[in-house]
Amino acid sequence: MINPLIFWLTVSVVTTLFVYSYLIKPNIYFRIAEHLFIGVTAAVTLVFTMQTLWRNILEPIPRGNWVNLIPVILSIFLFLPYLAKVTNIKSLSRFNQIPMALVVAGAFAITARTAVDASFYTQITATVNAFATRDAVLLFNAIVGLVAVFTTVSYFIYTKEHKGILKTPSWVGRLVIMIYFGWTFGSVAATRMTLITGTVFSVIDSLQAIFKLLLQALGQ
Amino acid sequence: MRMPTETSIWEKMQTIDRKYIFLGLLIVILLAYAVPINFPVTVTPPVKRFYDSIDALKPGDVVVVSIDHVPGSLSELAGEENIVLAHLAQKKAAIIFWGLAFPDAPQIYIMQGMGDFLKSQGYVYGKDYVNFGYITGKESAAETLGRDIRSVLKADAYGTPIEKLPLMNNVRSAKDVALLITFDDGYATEMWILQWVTPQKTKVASGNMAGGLPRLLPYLSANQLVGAMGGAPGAAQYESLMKVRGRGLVFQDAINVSQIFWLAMLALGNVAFFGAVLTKRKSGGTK
Amino acid sequence: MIKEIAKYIGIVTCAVLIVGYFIRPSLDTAVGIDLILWTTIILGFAAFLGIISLTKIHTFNLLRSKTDKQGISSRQQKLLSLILLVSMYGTILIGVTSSDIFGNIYQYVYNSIYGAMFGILGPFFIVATYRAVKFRSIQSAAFIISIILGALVNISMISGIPIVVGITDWFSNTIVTGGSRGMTIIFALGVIVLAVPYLLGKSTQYHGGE
Repeated sequence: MINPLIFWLTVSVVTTLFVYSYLIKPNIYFRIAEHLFIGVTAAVTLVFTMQTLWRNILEPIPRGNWVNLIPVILSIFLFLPYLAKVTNIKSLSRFNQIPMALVVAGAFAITARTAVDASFYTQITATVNAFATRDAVLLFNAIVGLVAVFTTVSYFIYTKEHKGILKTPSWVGRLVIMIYFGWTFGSVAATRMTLITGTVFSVIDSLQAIFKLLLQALGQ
Repeated sequence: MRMPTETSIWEKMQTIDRKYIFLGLLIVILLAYAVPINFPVTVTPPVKRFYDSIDALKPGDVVVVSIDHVPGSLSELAGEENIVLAHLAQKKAAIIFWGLAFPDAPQIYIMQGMGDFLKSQGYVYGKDYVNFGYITGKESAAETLGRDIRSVLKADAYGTPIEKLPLMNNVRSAKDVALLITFDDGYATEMWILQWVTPQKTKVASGNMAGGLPRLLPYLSANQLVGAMGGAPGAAQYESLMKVRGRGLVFQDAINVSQIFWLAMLALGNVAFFGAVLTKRKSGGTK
Repeated sequence: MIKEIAKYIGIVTCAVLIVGYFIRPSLDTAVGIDLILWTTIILGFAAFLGIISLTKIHTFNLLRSKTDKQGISSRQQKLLSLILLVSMYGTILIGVTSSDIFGNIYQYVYNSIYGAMFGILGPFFIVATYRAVKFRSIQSAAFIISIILGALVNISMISGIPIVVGITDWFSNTIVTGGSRGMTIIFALGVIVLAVPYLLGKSTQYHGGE
C-alpha cells in the first residue's frame, strides 16, 4: 500500500515547479498551475464562505435569531442582473446597487474611523510626546522626527504650488518620503528573499521526504 | 530609445539576460542550504521588546494568538509562530487561538500543528488552550470581543459550548487577556491597536512580514505595540534569544546570502550605468 | 428610485458605523443589528457570483472558442478551462463532503501554489533593482542609501557591527518613523476628506450610481 503522502508531496513539488517554470519563459505549465490555482482558490473561498454563512445565519435561526436573514435577502439582489438578462426586464439589474451600497459604505466606514483614531490623532500625539524628555540626544531625535513629519505632510499640499514658503519643506519632504520608501524597499527585499528561500527549501525537503517514503514502500 | 549598434561592455552588462540573474540567485540559495554557515544574529529592539513581553508572563496568564494571515505568507511567518508558541509553552501561558482577518486561520492552525505541539508540551485542551477558529466580522468582531467575548463566541471551533471550556471561565473581555499576539501579513495589527489597545489598554505584539515592519515603527515608538517581529529575520533573532535553532535561523543563512547577492546586483547595475555614462562622455556621445 | 434607496442606505450605514464607533454600544448593535456582519454575509454571497462568472467564461471557452489568444492555441485554452472547471467543482464537492481530502488539497495544492506565486516575485525584484535603481539625482541617492540601510538590518552578520547598529537605529527611529507617521497622517486626512461627500450623498459612484 503506497503512502498517499507520496502523491500529495509530488503534487506539491510539481505545481511549485510549474509556477517557477515562468522564470525560464511563459509556457503552458505555468498556465496550468495558474488555472489550477484560480479554480482551487475560488472553491476554497466558497467552502469557507459556506461554513461562515452556516455559523452566522442558519445555526442561529433555530434560536430565534432571524435578523441575519435580512442580508441574505439583500444578497439575492446581487444575482438579479443575471435574471434581468434572461427575462429581459432591465430594471431588475439595478437592484444590485442596494447590497453594494451597504458593503462599500461599511468597508469605507471601518477604514475612516480607524483613520481618525489610530492613524491621525495618535500619530500626532506621539510626535509631540517625543519632546517630553530632558535628554539632549532624545530631544534632537524628536526635532528630527518632527521635521520629518512636517515636511512629509507639506509635500502633499496640492492646493498651493510648491513655491516660496512651501518650496524647501516640500523638497525636504520628498527626500524624507524617498528615504521611507527606500527603507521599506530594503525590508521588502528580505520578505521576497524569505519567500523564495522558503519555497526552494520546501521543494528540497519534499523531494527528500518523497525519496524516503518511496524507499520505505519499496523495502516493505 | 535604441542603443547605438557598437555596444560597450557596460551597456551589455545593463541588458544582461535576466535568466543569468535568476540562476545566480538559485545557486546562492542552494549553496546556503548545502553549506550552512550559521552567521551570528544581532537582536534588534522591536524583537527584544517582543521577547521581554512574553518573558514577563506568569504561569496561567491568558494570551490570545490571532492568526491573521494567508497561507502564502507561511514562509515568513511560520518561523515566528513556532518560536513564539515554544516560548509561550515555556512560560506555561494559557492560550486562546482565533483568526479574524482571513478564513484560512483554522487550516493554518492545523498545518502548523499548533494544537499537536501544545499537547506534546503537556497542555490540555479546554483547560490550557482553546481554538475558536475563524471569527467573522473583522473590526466589528474585534471591537465586540474586546468588550465582551461571550457576546461573539458561543462555542469553540469544534462546537464545544464556551461554558464547558474551563479556560474561558475567567476570560470575559480584553481586560482579562495579558497579551494579544497577531501574526499578520496585512493590516490586522492596526485593527487590534484600534480595537484592543486604544479602548481596552491591552498589550498587543505583532508578528509581521519583514516588509511590514517599517509601517509599524510609529506604533512601536508610541508604545501602542509592545513588540514586533519582521519575518524570518525576526524569527531568527527571537530564536537566538531562546537559544533554539528553528526555521528562522535555518533560513537566515540563505536570506543573508540572497540579500548580499541582491545588494551586489544593485551595485553592479550602478557600476554598469556609470561606466556606460563615462564611456559615452569620453567618446563624445550625447547623454 | 433604486439609486436613491441605495444612496440613502450608503449614507446611513456610513454614518451609523462612523458615529457609532464613538458611542458604546454602537447604534446598530443597540437595536440587535450588526452591520459589519451583514457586509460579511453579503460579501460571502458575492463569492457565488465569482463562481458563476468563472463557470460562464470557461464553459464558453470549452464549447465555442476557436481562436488563438496571446500565443495559446484554442486547444490549449480548452485544456486550461477544463482544468479550472474540474479543479473548482471538484474542490467544492470535496470541501462539502470530506474534510481530510479538502485539508490535503488546501495544504499541498492551494498552499504550495500560493507560496510559489508569492515567492516568484523575488527574482523579478532583483532584476528590477538591477535595471532600474540608479544614482541619477540627490533624491534617488537618498533612496538607494536608505535601501541599503534597510537591507542591512536584515543581514544578520552585518547588522551586528556597532556603527551599523548606531546608524540604522537612528535612521529608523527618526527619519523613517517620521516619514511613516507623515504618510499615515496624510492617508487618514485623505480618507476623512473622501468620507464627507459619501456622508452627504454627493458621491454614488461606488455602488454603480452616476
